[in-house]
Amino acid sequence: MEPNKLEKLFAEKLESREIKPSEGAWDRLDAMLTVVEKPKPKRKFGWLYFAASVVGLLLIGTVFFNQKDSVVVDPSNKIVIGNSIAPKELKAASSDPLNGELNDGETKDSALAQKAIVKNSQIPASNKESLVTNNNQNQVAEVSISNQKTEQKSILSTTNAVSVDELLVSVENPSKSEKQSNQKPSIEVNANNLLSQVDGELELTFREKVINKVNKNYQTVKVALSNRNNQE
Amino acid sequence: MKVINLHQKENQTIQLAVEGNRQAQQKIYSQFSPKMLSVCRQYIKDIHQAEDVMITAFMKVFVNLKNFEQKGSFEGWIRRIMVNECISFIRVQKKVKYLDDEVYFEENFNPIESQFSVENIQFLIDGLPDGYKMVFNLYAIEGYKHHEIASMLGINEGTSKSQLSHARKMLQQQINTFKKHNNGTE
Repeated sequence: MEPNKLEKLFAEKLESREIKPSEGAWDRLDAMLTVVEKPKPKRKFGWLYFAASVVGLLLIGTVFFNQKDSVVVDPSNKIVIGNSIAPKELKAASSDPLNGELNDGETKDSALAQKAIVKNSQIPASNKESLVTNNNQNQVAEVSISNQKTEQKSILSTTNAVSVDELLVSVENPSKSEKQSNQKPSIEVNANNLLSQVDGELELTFREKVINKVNKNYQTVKVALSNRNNQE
Repeated sequence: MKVINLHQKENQTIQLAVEGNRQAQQKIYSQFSPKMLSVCRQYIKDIHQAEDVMITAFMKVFVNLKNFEQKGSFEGWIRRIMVNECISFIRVQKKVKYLDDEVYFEENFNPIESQFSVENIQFLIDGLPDGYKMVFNLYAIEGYKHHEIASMLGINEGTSKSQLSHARKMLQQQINTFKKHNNGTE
């Protein structure tokens, strides 16, 4: 069963034969090889992209948080909060405690006077001496009370004077602060809207910032020009 | 010295190709592709299909190049990959039927000298059914033993032998008709 002569001849002839592949054969093999080889560099690039995206997200995140902070720590807002709290305090300080003291003083005085009157009326006629003495004592007491009253009144008048000024201020300020507080929420809503609209797109925020700034500057220039024209 | 230099050069190109150097891969391809296409053509009649199989086999060559131990012949290694790829292609393409009748025909080939051109030989081989053709190619051309062919094709050793004798008989008949035809024209 060994290969015979003819088969050896066949083998020889076939061994020496060469068939040139078509022109595109290498290109096809090249393409197949690139397909097989590609996954590795892709993965490398994938990691790079992943890292870059993480860094980018961090950057965007920090920028956004800084923006939020700047919006929250707006000095005008602080003033608004201060004003809105201050009038209340002023009101409370000016009206409630002083009035309370005033009322307390009056009620005490009136109560004392009433008591004295009651004492006077309740005292029997027979005890005139005692009555006199009592009257004297009452007079003394009344005098002392009146003194106290005048003192208190003077104190009250001073406190009232202060409270009036403060009230005026507080009355004037709240209107401003109310206006401001009316304005501020709208601005805050705008900021939120902007933040929600932008949602990570820095370009838009920058664009809107630029537009806003340009608009503001334009308005101020316009107002200044109109003022100057009016003055002239 | 020249042979040693050539061998070193080949090793260098192989090393570069293992690392994915496309130029080195192309060098190997252009060096071996004509011969390997001829090998594939032995098994597959359609030249385009043969080329496709060769490209796929070269893919396997480059993917598995790192596993090539530089002890044996590089060409032999590539050739084995080619032959295996051809066999698996024929298996997938067509269900090969092996007639296992255990009848061995007598060999009475007459030496016909170099009367046959390579084209004639290929024509004769192309005329064989796939089962015969594979065994004949593996045994007579590639020089594999029957037990090797049996394990390669997943058949019995006896089947391989019977396939070979069938192939030989068929070739003999073809050669006879070929001779008659040639004689007739002369």
